[in-house]
Amino acid sequence: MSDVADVVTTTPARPAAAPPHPTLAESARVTWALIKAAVRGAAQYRLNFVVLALMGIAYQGSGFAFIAVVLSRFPTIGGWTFSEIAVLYALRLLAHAVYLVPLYMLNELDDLVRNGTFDRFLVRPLNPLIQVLTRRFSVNTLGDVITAIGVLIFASTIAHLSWTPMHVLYAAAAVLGGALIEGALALGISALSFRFVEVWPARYLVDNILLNFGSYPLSVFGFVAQWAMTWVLPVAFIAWVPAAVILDRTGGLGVSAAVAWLAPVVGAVWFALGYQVWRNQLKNYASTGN
Amino acid sequence: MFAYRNSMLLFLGVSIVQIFILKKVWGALYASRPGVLAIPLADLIVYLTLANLIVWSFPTHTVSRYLRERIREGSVVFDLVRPVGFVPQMVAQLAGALGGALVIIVIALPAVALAGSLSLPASPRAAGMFLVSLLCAYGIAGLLTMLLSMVAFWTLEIDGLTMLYVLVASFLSGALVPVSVFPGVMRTVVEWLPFQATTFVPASIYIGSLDGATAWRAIGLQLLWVVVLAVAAALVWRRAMLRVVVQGG
Repeated sequence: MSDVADVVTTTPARPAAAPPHPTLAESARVTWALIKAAVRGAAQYRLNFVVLALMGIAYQGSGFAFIAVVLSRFPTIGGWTFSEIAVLYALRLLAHAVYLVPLYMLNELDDLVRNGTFDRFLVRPLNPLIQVLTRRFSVNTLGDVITAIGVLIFASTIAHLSWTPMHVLYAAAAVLGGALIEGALALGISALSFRFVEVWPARYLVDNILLNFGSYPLSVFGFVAQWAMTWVLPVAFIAWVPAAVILDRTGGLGVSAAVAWLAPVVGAVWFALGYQVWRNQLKNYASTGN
Repeated sequence: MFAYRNSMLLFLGVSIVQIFILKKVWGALYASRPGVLAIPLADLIVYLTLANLIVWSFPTHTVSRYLRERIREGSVVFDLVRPVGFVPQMVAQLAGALGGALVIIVIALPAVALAGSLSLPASPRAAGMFLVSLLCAYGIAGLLTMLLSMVAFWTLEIDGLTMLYVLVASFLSGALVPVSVFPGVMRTVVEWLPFQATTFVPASIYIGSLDGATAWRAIGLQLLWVVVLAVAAALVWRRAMLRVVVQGG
């Protein structure tokens, strides 16, 4: 089966009365029911719940532990003090958590494509992407949420931030923008599995780059890396640029202060691109057969 | 081993990224206040490069995944009835995985040197001690992996645990921060754990920051860890055999 439309029209099980395209309200209702079922399913395994959440905390916390240890001996990294880097780290973690909780299931798209499970998503009257995302609720994402909130509380107590309403609004938008950037990359790369089946190594590598480079002021990596992390892979706009705006230190970013204030928009643009890639690649889906 | 070639290469790619980041971050730290640590920056970068290569070459992922599969499928029963004991079989697994890793390292060395920095050992004597210490390090890391993998006899599932172990172990082994940099109580804790003996000791001997009697004492401690962990592994192994469940058998 090479054509999505083909599959839909030749499925005999579809009742004649069902609308070919569900309305937005219907989609929302079904999505909500699927989310509730996924969370109920995950809550059945209590011990696993705890272990996986701990793993999420350790994964994100170890990077922060490194920064805390080295900055107990040295004053700054690239001119940023510990409290400033804590703000940067908190923003990155929040963006990551906001991205991960809804989109974690993209990690399993490889499997769904390889064993043909994805076929059945195409014959149901709900956006296949939503069906992938609501398959299961992954508990280790809660570890990311806990770490993010923990570091945020810690950072805002030591950093003496001036929270004007403008700053609060910007921070919220920036976190959402950062999540959209990560989501765009995850969506775009995952969608390639419709063609190449195995794409998790690419996901793993990009995740690692976002995690490792994204935790520091990018200026320490030299001009070429900083430029690439701003204009090729938009790592800079996930947390470094927003953190500089919140801390009122937009000098040395490699982008002007005006562009820095527009960081959340970058996320929206990238996500629109990522979703377009997803839709285009979906047309190329050829089932692996059974 | 070569069944896992792709994942070994992937993890090497991640290690190379990590080495590059450590080089740049430590460079920025040294620039912010010179003279905090006794060790010169150039030596530290060589240390970090080497330490991360050592951590990468530990066959934790491959061996724990192999054993998990055997236990879950129940095919571990064939391993148990073979005329060669199970422990020698595991040692052979570990050695094979290590051999494969060494082949990959030789090929990847130019990229590694570019991302971090490499140099010859501090002295011929340091080179000799390094090899002895590295051998002990592999013994300790192998035994730790075996202990970790045997948890699967009880839980069947150890993927999450392995990931958690790799993260915690590489942080406490000194692959990101030399053990001497850890503050106060944390340093004491790290020095009393076996992880620093798997990485910090051999890499420090290589660059010459651990030397003479101190180095021999560190190697002695490594040997002690080998004995302690071997006894622990033997005890756990005996308990595991009492409750081995062969699925579908």
